[in-house]
Amino acid sequence: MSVAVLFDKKYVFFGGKGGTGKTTCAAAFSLKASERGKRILLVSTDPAHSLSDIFDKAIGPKGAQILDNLFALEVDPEIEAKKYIEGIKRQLSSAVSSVVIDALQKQIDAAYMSPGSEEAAIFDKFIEVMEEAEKSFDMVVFDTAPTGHTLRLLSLPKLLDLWINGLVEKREKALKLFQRASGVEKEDPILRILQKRKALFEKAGSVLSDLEKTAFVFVVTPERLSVFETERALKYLESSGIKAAGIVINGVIPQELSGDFIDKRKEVQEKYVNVIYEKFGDKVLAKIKLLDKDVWGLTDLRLIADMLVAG
Amino acid sequence: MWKKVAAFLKDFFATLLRPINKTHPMVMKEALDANDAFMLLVFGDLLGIPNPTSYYTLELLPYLADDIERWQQRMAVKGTVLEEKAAQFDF
Repeated sequence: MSVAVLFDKKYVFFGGKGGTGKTTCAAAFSLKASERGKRILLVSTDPAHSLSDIFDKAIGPKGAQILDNLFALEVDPEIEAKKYIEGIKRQLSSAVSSVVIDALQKQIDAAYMSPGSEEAAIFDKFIEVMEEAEKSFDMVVFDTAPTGHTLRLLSLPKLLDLWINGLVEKREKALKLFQRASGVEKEDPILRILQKRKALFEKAGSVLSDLEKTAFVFVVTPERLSVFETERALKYLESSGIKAAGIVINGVIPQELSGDFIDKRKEVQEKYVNVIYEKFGDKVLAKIKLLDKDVWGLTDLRLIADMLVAG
Repeated sequence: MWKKVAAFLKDFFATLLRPINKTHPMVMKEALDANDAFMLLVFGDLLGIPNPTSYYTLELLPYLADDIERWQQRMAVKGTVLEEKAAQFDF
């Protein structure tokens, strides 16, 4: 197998433990796909972005063109949250008096600072990117945050769907009773907004669990912690209805090297490569050799990309 | 004669309909209760109940802003649940 099986997907996610090479693999994969004529958008959802560093080019939240067919974007949750809040403030000022707005300022700030708002902002942007990229790109590649963050992000559609259904139900019940009491029937803007949200969450959920369109690739190094964390992540994803399409083993010491120190490390790696094959054998897409240099820039990424495709 | 019959029928149906009219405030009360429950889910953090989704409920604010103050007051002055329910009946 090789990552070439993923070239006809619409959304490809690269995940894994911190430091295993998610960004490197996502960038190399995107580069290869773009050089095969696909129009690619590479998006980093990790608040600690690395795409700018690996391409040696300022990318940022507005995005940048890397090559003819390759575009990159670094999602900034703070900017996204600010945009959202500003939008609400604008709507507020046209809907209610300024006295009320002052009183609500506290509420707005509290929501802005609340613990979930960063991930909510990333999730919103994530849905927006998927919608916008649907027509203008052949494939969107996501360079995600380390496992925990990403699992949380991917399980959000299911969680939020529960929550929004509860709200819609309660609102509908109240509206029905109001109608019965007053005999007046009118359209409810709140129900409209809630249903719009619901549709967005459902769309995100269906894209994430669509095996035809979407693939999840975990980058694993042949080490104990990385292997076990990936195993747990796969189980968790499956319980959220998401199946991982592939595993990339990264940082494998080249066979031809030797020496006391190297031999010992090779022994350890071999052991965990075997464990990886035992646990997820049919999913392994590629084995990437450790290079004798720091990987950044297009030339280095092409080396990695060739190994990704070679399998 | 027909006028009398018509007047009688009018009275008759008005009497029949009265209980329905009387349920009207009760339905209204129930509607308000249902809406209070909805508001609690949306803006519970204003009453000190943490709301993990307050980021998303924020977009409802422009439409609910006028209700919020009244709702907060109603929640603050609410007595016991029993008292609330008892008030709905005409003892």
